[in-house]
Amino acid sequence: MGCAGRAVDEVVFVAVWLIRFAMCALMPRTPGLPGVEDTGVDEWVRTFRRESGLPIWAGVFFGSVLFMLLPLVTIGVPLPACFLSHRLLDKHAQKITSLPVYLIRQPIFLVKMMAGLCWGSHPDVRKHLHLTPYPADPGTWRAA
Amino acid sequence: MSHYAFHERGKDVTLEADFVVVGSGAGGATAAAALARGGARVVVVESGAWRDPPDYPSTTYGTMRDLFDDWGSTFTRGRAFWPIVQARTVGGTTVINSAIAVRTPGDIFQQWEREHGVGGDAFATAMWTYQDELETELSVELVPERAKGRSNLLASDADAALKFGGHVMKRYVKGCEGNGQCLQGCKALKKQSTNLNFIPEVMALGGDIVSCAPVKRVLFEGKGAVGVEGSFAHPLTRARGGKFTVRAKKAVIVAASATHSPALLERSGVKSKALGKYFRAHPGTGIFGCYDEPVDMNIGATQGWASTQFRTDPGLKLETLAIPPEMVASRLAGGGTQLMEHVREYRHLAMWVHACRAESVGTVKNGFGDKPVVHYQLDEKDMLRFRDGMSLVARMHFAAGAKAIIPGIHGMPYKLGPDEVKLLESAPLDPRAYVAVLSHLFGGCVMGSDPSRSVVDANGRVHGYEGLVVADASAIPTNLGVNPQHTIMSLARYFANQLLS
Ligand SMILES: Cc1cc2nc3c(=O)[nH]c(=O)nc-3n(C[C@H](O)[C@H](O)[C@H](O)COP(=O)(O)OP(=O)(O)OC[C@H]3O[C@@H](n4cnc5c(N)ncnc54)[C@H](O)[C@@H]3O)c2cc1C
Ligand code: SF4
Repeated sequence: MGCAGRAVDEVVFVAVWLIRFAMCALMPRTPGLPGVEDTGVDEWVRTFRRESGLPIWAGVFFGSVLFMLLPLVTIGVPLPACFLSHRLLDKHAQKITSLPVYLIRQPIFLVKMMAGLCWGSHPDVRKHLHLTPYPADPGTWRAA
Repeated sequence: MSHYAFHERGKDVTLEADFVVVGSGAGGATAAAALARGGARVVVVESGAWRDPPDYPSTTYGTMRDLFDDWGSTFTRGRAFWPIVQARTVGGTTVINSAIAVRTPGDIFQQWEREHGVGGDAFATAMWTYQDELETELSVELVPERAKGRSNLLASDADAALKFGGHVMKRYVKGCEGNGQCLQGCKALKKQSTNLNFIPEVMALGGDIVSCAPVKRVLFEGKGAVGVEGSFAHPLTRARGGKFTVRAKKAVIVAASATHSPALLERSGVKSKALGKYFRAHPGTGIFGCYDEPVDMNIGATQGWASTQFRTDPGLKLETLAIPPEMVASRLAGGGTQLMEHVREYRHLAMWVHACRAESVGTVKNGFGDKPVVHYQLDEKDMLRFRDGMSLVARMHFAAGAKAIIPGIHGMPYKLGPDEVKLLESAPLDPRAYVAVLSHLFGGCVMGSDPSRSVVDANGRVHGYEGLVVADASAIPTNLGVNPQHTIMSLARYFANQLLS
């Protein structure tokens, strides 16, 4: 693999990590209820990266970057979100969804939506909500 | 009679027919079936893949990937970015919709005649005759008692108390099982989406279906449309495949939706002052009611109750709508443990929505990568209407016994109790405060007698061109105030029959 290929891989790795981080913080584990971290998020984000189109991937990535960078705006702490304590991260996750700036709120909404898609389709969560597990998405079509 | 799916690069496909139809949704499939029944050889060219019910996804993620147009990533450009939801698959948006069948109200035909010089009594009679036929062919039925589900029943209770003139919905569904999965495609084979009836019928009558085939442009000889061309796109990777060309001996019928049809005509070089203009919609949003007993809104028909009483004043439609839990999570306010507390309430929530008969108009342009760019925003009059819709839905929830509602409006309290519902009357008029969706779309290639204000005439033929017809939601010149599929289908059948005669 050439230098360019390695650089792309690294960017993708960081992007996946950022998205995963934001999704887990937005829907964390709470007593008796699984959070995104319990619902196969690593595989989910990797699949999402592979399968999604550029506009939606870019939107979610942008939202995750904002999530990482904005604790100063939400809770007045000049640190990236990954260095916050559990309590402060939770406060940040709460505040960032209701910021008055629409251009921040919307990309965060997108990340939250992705967190919801991952979380709500997991069999453990569906069981909790008294719903039968989803069968796998076949991803098939008429080839001829 | 063949189906041509994705072809690799270098494996090109060339076909010829009497008529080529672009798009296989409500408009395209209906027009194609009518033409094929009239003895014509028809080729339907569809951007998406052909998925049968066993291929349908189960999750919302899978639905966005496999059935939505571009992952649902088209949104309005204006003050607010509201998503425009449509499908990209054989069967078009009929695969993911709720199949609610509502006849075109009589005042619409009068309005079309008055304002656009098309329509009138004879036209209305023809359209309603086609709607009678469609109701029989597509087994339109009332949502059966066993499939109603608690959310729909609660709405009926509220209606009985408030006298909102509601009714159990009629849908193109035969024997609904009430498994609340209309958005993901009906795996129970009950919903009559066009991939299950008109498209196979076209094939049975000797036509061809070309799927995974986004049309790049309509081909012309002088002012006459003679076919279409494009390259296959892989359903998953979107990788470009071989080229396809379909020649049409008689006409090209464009039915690619209210966003894609104007974009396709623009990139094909069609000249019309009205092209891409007069785009309209029914922006809609939901309010959750919180009930003491579990509602389990995903058990029961996805949509089962509606009221059209407010269609003309103030211009709203009220409906029930079950959304899957993975969508509920993003509709509830907050993040972190606060959001998790909110989602715990899922089983006790019922979502009811209003669709606003907005008068604001927007534009559609062909954008980068052939993606339609829609400029649209509600003016203040429409925002007032939109806000009225919030109050009506809230009142319904309380009449049905909800202990609180979740309005989902930025800047307002997360929950409102029965005594606080008045607060909604002073809710913001800024569209950015709301999470709304556009799923009923109109215009972009509107019908009318004046070529300076319309793209197609009363028979769907593009002014100034030969053999070019538009037969989908984009031809509809006004906002209907009711669900559009019935109108689109009957219009498409009408245009197709005009072509045959
Ligand atoms: C979630 C949802 C629920 C709804 N529920 C209802 C309901 O209950 N009742 C109702 O009346 N209406 C409902 N609607 C609206 C209704 O489904 C649409 O108004 C209707 O399907 C539009 O018909 P159409 O033919 O204009 O477009 P579509 O049905 O969207 O079909 C257009 C087709 O053209 C294809 N296409 C686009 N571009 C190209 C291209 N370049 N080349 C080839 N093919 C192309 C698309 O892939 C698509 O398959 C709903 C819509 C949504 C999104
Ligand atoms: S509610 Fe279920 S069974 Fe009924 S039409 Fe929708 S998906 Fe099919």
